[in-house]
Amino acid sequence: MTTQEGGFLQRSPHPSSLYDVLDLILDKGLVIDLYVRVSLVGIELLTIDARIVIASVDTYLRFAEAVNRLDLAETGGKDLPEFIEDLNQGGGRGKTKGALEGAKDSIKDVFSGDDDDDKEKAAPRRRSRSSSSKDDDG
Amino acid sequence: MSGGSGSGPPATATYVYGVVRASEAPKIDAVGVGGETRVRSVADGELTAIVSDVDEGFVEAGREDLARHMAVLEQAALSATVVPLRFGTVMPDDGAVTAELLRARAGELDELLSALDGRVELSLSGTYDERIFGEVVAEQPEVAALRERVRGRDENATYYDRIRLGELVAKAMAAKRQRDTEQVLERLRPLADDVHVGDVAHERSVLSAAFLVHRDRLPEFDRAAEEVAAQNRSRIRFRYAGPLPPYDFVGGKAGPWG
Repeated sequence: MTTQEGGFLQRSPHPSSLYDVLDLILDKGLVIDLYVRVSLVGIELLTIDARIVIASVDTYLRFAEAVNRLDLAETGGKDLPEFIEDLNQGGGRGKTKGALEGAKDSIKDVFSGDDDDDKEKAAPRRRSRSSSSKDDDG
Repeated sequence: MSGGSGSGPPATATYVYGVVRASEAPKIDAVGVGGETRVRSVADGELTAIVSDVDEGFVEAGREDLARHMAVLEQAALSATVVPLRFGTVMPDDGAVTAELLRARAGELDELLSALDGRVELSLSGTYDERIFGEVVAEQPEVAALRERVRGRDENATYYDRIRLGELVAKAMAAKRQRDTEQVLERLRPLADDVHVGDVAHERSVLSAAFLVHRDRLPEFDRAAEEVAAQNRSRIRFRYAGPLPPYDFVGGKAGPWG
């Protein structure tokens, strides 16, 4: 069954990261009114933070950085499918870092018990406003 | 008893994990939420609640107790159909479990247990690999052009161009996300009795979905999931968990924050 050695699925009998656990069970399950007594210190903010971040300027800047990091020019004129294939074979494992891990780390931070510092870290980074005198369309 | 809190022992309450049919009631060997008591059961008529003693008050949603909650339900699900309760369900005592859960909601529980009979949950979530950005550049001339304009230039000087670039990328990714989600669901939905698609949790998520699948169809579902992952191997990393108790299919309401 699901224990069979798979090719491309990352399998686990149960969700492994805390982020997955939270996602899987925290707001699931039959509710017996009045009797759910969960203390959610810190989690609420982070969950919301993780969900709204998709449309933020911070995301845009991260995406821009990600496409700029791609080294298309240095692939020696290969076209993209080929380039992607190369990357595949070169093993892109562990390359996918960034926002996902960021969110997980934030949640882990909360669980590690500190508060104020972690909230700072978890909040979307604020960009300096030093360039705000420019017009939006450049 | 050593190291007790100064003001006497705290009052005890009953933590409830889930409900099974009495005829299937599993023997569970596990430490309960709070880490100090063993898991036991409270039976009434044809239903059995899986419970343990906890200190009265609020349960903190911490790593260890979340894991204990899950472990108990997973053990139960090995041999029984189980209705999982929301994490942190604490009732005053066993009497309340009998009266306000097993009796008061007997009809609903019976219906759920019948609907879930022999079925388990499989959780599948996908995240775009960074290589997805290569796809976007290749497919979107405007992205490619803007990328050329800002690459290697001073960050402050290109601030707004970079935002525009990122916005275009985000838009392209949203379209991809929708297409890819549809494709995955198209392949897997026919093998499931029910599907629950969750919110996308972060900016590179593709989907997060829970499937209710009959045990008999697990091998088939498994192969299909593997096929989907293979087709997308250069672009999406899939995580697959299960078989799990049917957390998503017991009519839980939205979370406390919506």
